[in-house]
Amino acid sequence: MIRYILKRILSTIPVLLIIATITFFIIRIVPGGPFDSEKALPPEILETINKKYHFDEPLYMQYLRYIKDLAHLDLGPSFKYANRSVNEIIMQSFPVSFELGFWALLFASIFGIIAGILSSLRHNSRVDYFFMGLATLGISLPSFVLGPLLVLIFALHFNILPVAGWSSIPHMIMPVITLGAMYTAYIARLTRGGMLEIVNQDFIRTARAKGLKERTIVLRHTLKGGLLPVVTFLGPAFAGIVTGSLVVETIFNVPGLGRYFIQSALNRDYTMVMGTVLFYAVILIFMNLVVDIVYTLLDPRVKYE
Amino acid sequence: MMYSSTCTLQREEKEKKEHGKVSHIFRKGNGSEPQDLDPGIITGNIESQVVENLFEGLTTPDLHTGLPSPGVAESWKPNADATVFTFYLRKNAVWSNNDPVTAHDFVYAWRRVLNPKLAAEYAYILFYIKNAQAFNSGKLNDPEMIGVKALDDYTLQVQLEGPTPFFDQLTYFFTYDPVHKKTVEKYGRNWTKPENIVTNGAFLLDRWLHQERIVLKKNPTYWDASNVKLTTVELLPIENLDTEQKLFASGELDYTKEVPDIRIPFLRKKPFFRSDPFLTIYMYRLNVTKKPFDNEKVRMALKLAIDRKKITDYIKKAGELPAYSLVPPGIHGYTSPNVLEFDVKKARALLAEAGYPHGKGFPSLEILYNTQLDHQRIALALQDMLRKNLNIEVKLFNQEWKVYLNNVKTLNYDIARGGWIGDYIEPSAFLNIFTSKSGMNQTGWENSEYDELIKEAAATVDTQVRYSLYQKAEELLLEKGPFIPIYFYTRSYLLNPKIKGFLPNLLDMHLLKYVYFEE
Repeated sequence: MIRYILKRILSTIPVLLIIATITFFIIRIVPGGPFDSEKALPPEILETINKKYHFDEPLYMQYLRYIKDLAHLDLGPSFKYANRSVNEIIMQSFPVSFELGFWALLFASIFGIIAGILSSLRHNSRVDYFFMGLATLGISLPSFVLGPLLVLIFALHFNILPVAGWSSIPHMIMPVITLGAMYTAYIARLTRGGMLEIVNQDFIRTARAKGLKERTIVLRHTLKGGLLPVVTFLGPAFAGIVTGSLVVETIFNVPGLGRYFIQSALNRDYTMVMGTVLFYAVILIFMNLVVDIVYTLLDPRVKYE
Repeated sequence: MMYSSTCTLQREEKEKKEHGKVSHIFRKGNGSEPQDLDPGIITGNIESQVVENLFEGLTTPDLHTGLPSPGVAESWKPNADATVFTFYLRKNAVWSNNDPVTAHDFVYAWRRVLNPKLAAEYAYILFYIKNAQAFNSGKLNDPEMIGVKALDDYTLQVQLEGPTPFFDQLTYFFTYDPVHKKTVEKYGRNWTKPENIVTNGAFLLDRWLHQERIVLKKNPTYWDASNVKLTTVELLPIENLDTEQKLFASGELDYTKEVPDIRIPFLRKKPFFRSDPFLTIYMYRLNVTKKPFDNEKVRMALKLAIDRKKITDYIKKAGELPAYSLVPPGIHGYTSPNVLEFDVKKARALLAEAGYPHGKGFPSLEILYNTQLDHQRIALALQDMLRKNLNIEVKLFNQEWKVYLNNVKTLNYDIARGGWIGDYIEPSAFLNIFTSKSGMNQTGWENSEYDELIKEAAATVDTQVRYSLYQKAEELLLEKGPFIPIYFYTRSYLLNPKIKGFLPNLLDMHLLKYVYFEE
């Protein structure tokens, strides 16, 4: 097992190198540079800037320079935010994205599982239709619609929550719900499906025949098997939620990494683009590894050598 | 609709609730996150809104007129031909660590900006100073050669490349602000972090929570502190205009940096809506290196065929003025020549003279603009007007901001949207962009007569004579030039009606030292 994990970790190095290479050249091919603005700079000023940031060197030299720094885990200075390095920006803003993602997934898990269980117990009843209708709505309603809608209702009409920001618990409620909504819906559907599959199996029928209480059957037996698909979903979901919070961060002015991700591309902040892409890649790779390890723990049929 | 009524309701309720207790925290939308707070490094309005309150230059814009008023300099005087300016500094100006602000601080700051090692983008704003350009481009290596000298601790003498009567306006530009030498040298790139920074303005940098808020506190050591009424200011970097407006509606913000255009018709009549004149033009550039705009008559035909009033009245709707010149109105003593108008008949005749009677044989053209709803709406109007009035077809083409900038710069377009914000209140702030050598020209248009007029005007000290030369130049530019003026911007924003001292001025500079809450 440990050998397997080590092997997986080592195999990420070439993957990251490929990602770094592709990103480096793609962002350089895109027209426009970090210092282009509506006020065109005089040529001599552009020259000094190019010299300072080594833009006057051939591209492969710049690439090698970047890879060398990367090997030392130095993502370089941000071109846009002059007094901060990319490492610094990621260290400051990622914890916020992480926190937002964590609460959103917790919210999604609790409400999704409850809704899924209730739906499966009252299969094809009004309760089922209600929750599954809600889930369909949750999946189809994009966050840039849901977010402003929540603000309109809870912040502007009822005046019980702040419009935007990230400085207190009330500030967190709407961003967490907006980000978590889609995942709640997925989890509800997965739970319901998993539960229904188990409910019809022989060992549950046996349990019923033995006269066990319905509550015991649900909590002890059905849930255990019914939640397996949810558990396997959580890994990729967490990676997705943490790296995909940019819309919610913009709507609610949350100081997370997602906002830098979009802006760096628009600003042609080369080092920042590289830094965020690589950082997100590491998270995705890591989460996949975690999921694979969890599989071996949940399902004895899966073994890695 | 429902939204804007909610907007008023919430505000009024909140105001009632808060009646009697006056909050002294001014919460201000800042657009987005500042790139830095180093006056020598920054380039944009997002940063300057913060920096102009942290640092004070030799002069500052007057609250009412926007013209130079004393800052660190108590008084100043140019010599007879405006090539040497002498600034007399006040003796009670101190840094936030109590060091005195001296003429040496300015010498240090300006040399630093011009040092090629700093690679400051806005170094060129100092190129009016003698040898500044040569030093910045590495042709001169001795900083002593730059035309700025401290005659003593409190007297600063500036030698200029040529007559620059408006130099005292340039000195409130942030790039001219002093910086504290010891702090800059000690902390390097990190000197603007709140724990390190030393400033000399009306406010101190208390906290800088990136992408969340910047907190400024009143600076007790500021020489004019007794007249500064705000104690705390919070600046919020909010990119999403919709979020910004909702924060204002709920009373969490006292000022929005912008108003979404689409909401202006609903908000226009509210007491908190403000629309100030602004030294800015919206225009279209014409690429004269390509057919058909190499022909002066075609250019003129297009200039005459646009009904600008329709654009300002039905699309913009925030009180913008239709533009028939390059220089916006409001510059004291200057009026633009009357050359352009809306005249379809004349436009058609000119197009026929140019060889395209009733638009026949006119090449297929594209209007290029950066992707934004507002630009699209105006381009659509232009497309429609050209079709109806001149029977010519143009296609619309939008691109992402930096791609668009690149294409305009390399003259890879037919007609391109453009804009310009004046840096100082003088016709040359606009007229300079269309000289042959200007990097902002971006049309391929070269006219030696125009260049000569601009050069002659710049060297003329007498304002009246200078302005009449600028008038002549602008007349020539409007007749033959490579652009279609569309409208003069206004600055639209929402402001808590209790805020006073936030007066309109052409440069959109609102120093927080003058701002206060009505008791």
